[in-house]
Amino acid sequence: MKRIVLIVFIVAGLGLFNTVASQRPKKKPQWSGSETVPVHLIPLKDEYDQPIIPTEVNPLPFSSRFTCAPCHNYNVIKQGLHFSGGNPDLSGRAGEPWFWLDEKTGTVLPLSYQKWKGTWDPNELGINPWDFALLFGRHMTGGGILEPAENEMSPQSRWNVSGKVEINCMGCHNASRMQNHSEWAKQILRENFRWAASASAGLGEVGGMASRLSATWDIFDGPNPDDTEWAAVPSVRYNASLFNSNHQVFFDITDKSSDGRCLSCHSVTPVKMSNKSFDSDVHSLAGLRCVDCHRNGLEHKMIRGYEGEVSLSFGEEAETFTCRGCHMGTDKNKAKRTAAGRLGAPFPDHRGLPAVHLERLSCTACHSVPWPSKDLNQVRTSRANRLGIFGVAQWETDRPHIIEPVYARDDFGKIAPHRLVWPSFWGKIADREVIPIRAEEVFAQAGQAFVSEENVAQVLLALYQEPDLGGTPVLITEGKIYTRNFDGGLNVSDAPENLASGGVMWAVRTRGAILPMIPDFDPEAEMLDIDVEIRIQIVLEALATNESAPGQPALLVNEKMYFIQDGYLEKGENLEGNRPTPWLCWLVEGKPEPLIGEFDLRTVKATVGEEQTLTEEQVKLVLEILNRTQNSDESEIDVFYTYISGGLMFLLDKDGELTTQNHKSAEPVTWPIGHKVRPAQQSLGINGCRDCHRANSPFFFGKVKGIGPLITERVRVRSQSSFMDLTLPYQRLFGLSFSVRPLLKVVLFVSALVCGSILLIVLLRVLGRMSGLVEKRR
Amino acid sequence: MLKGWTRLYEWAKTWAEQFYPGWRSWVFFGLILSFLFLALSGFLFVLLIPRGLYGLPLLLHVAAGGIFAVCLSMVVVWRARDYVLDIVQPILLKVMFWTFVVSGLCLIITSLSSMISFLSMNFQIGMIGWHRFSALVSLISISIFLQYSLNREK
Repeated sequence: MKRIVLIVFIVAGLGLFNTVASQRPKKKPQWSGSETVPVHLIPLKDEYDQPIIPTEVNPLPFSSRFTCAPCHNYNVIKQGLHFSGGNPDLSGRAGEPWFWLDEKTGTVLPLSYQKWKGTWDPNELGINPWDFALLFGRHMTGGGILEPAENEMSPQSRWNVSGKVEINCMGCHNASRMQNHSEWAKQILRENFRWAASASAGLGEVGGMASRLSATWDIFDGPNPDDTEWAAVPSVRYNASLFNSNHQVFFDITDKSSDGRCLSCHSVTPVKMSNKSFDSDVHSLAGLRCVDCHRNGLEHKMIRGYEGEVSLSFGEEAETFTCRGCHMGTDKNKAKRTAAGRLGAPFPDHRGLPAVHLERLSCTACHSVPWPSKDLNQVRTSRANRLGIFGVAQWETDRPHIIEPVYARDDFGKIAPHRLVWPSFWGKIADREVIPIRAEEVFAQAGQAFVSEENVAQVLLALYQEPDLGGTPVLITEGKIYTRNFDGGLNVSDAPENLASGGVMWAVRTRGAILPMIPDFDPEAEMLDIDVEIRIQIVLEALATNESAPGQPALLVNEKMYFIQDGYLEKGENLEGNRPTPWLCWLVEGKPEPLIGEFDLRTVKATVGEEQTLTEEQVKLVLEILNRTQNSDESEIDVFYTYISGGLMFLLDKDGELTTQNHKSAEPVTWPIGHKVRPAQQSLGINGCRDCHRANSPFFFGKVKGIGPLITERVRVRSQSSFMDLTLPYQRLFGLSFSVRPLLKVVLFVSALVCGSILLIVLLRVLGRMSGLVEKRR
Repeated sequence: MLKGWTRLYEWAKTWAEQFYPGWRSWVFFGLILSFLFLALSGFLFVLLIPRGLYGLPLLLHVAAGGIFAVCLSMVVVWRARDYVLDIVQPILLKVMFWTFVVSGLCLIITSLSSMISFLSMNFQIGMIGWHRFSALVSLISISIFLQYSLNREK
């Protein structure tokens, strides 16, 4: 009996030990020393850690958390830089914020969880991780806030339907050319979060859209047999040829990502440049990859490469990956008289450059980004302007309007090139602070002020749907032709000379000719031309299909009015006066009103075809509506509304007129930039001091003009010096001093020559006396 | 303090009348005033401001440097013969005069070197050290020279 008890104790003890041992954190894997990457022929696991068999019915998408887990500690990796965007405690210098765009309301709002200067915390604006994933997941790596814990999920979110966005390991480490960033973006926008990695890695085809499923759907519910078309449940059909007989898949993995993977999210390109003229970074051209400098360990705490960076992964070694660390060496290296830094990068002599420049300027100020010019360059970045997503739809946007280089002081007090965006948003002023309002709230209250273009497009759409019209309906006014485009907006082009003047004209464009929508005719004639009669009827019937029509369509000519009644064209008296040419209108409570109101027409003329999307008149109208709404509430606190654009705060004064003020909320957001690095021969200062130090140098005196969605002359203008916290008059004087510097050099040289010659003579005399060659003077 | 400055002015005036007649006195006073400004601006900034000399004082320092260089070379041309071996002068005065000239020449050369585009930055950094050292030497030498001359007059 005792023996049995002993055996039971031993077995129980072993079991307990085994349990405890399995719960212990796995030891951090160390580098074996091999420089090769192991072949990744591995079984796929789903999010429940179950092996994926591709031939099964409805297999789940693969999960990087469990597929990679046997060898790579997911919990360690998720501390990485790319997965910590939602961590407000993430230290380090400011980076590019996310931009919340809404073209219709003219909103360009910089967001960041890191409390960088000039950015807004998404939490304060009511943007939860779910919203953030839908807004920006297209260019995110997964993990972090896109993989929230159960208690972090807001009630409005649909994580149970979409699944979480796990870290997309393959997004960076897949060496296969099948890795497809566009597919990733598409799946994220469809809310197919848990399927996005499988689809983008090319492991299979993913169909269905989680965004169309009911909020109660769960992955265990499986496919919906009643709807396989519209609300089809997302599913993955794996490419069976990728699997071997053990259901293992070969992942073409690289530990050092190619530049292309980085550039999916980190591209920056000038707006007015073709890809043929575009030059890469000098380091890339020399054969370096992004990850050669921007390294990381398993924690994925990547080195960003700026001076003063605190790297938890690399410690002091991080300094060796900065420009200075690589090219000039660290202090430690200098002590050893090492000629240069990491890998013996070329040591810069900086001939003729006063040392103070290295104390006051970052290396990038002279060596990176385009040469400063009078007009700043507009660039687009992957994350801000949605670059790198290819498909039938046009994903890239012109906004935000990012400009570079703006020379500003960085967190360490050095002057460094920055990119800059002027924010624009609607906000309410309370206690002198501006609190942004979400674009949808503004639209809900003052939507009528933003739909001028749509109103015109709606009329054109109504006419377009009438096949017997014989061409494309157009609106012609003030020498411009407006046609409807497939995005529901308008395109604009120049009208022929014979139509360049005159008022509003609805017409039909057919085979190069432009004909009036309703030809001229005599309404007093006893019998109306049958063709004209049919024409009037189909046009009025087409207009009647416009869902946003304020009334019944009608045609006024001279003193007659035509309208449709019970399907027949009726003729009545025009009581509103004489109309010499046919005039299409709406009958609103019996009174004729133009198809497009004056406000809409002015707005369309001002904004269509322009980068800016708002007029001052629109802003005034919206502010009036918002202020009126506020006053109608029984609130005791005075709250006024404002619109921020172009560096200024627009608000209504006591007379109801639009006025502007400076405000800190209107200040631009800037972030320092590193790339693209130019060759040394093209660095700033290569032509001498006057590259920067002259009376009109763009480096100091270039103008940084406010720009926003508002068409206005009222914008903030700042000089480059103001971003550097330098005094403008002094810099002008200092610049001017370089005009007389050649003279100073001559003066100093001649003086030195004179003094030196006399000293030489005296010295020679002394030597002469000492040697007896020269006699003592009497 | 004021008495000391008045005495120094009287000495300079007498010295100028004796050795720098006519328009030459402008050169002499140019040398003294430019050196005074150079020393004040240079040493005060180095000692009191961590950033060192910058801004408008730096611009004026450079301008004063040009005046100093011209005046020094002219004074050397006119006065060198009075401080050569054969002339009867206290040896200390001779040594201090030539020390001042040599350190002045160093100051000019080190200034010039920071404006020449073919010298490396490390060389320039070395030159700044030499510039400061020369400035110190020149200040000490001119101080001893003045002190000795004033005492001799007394």
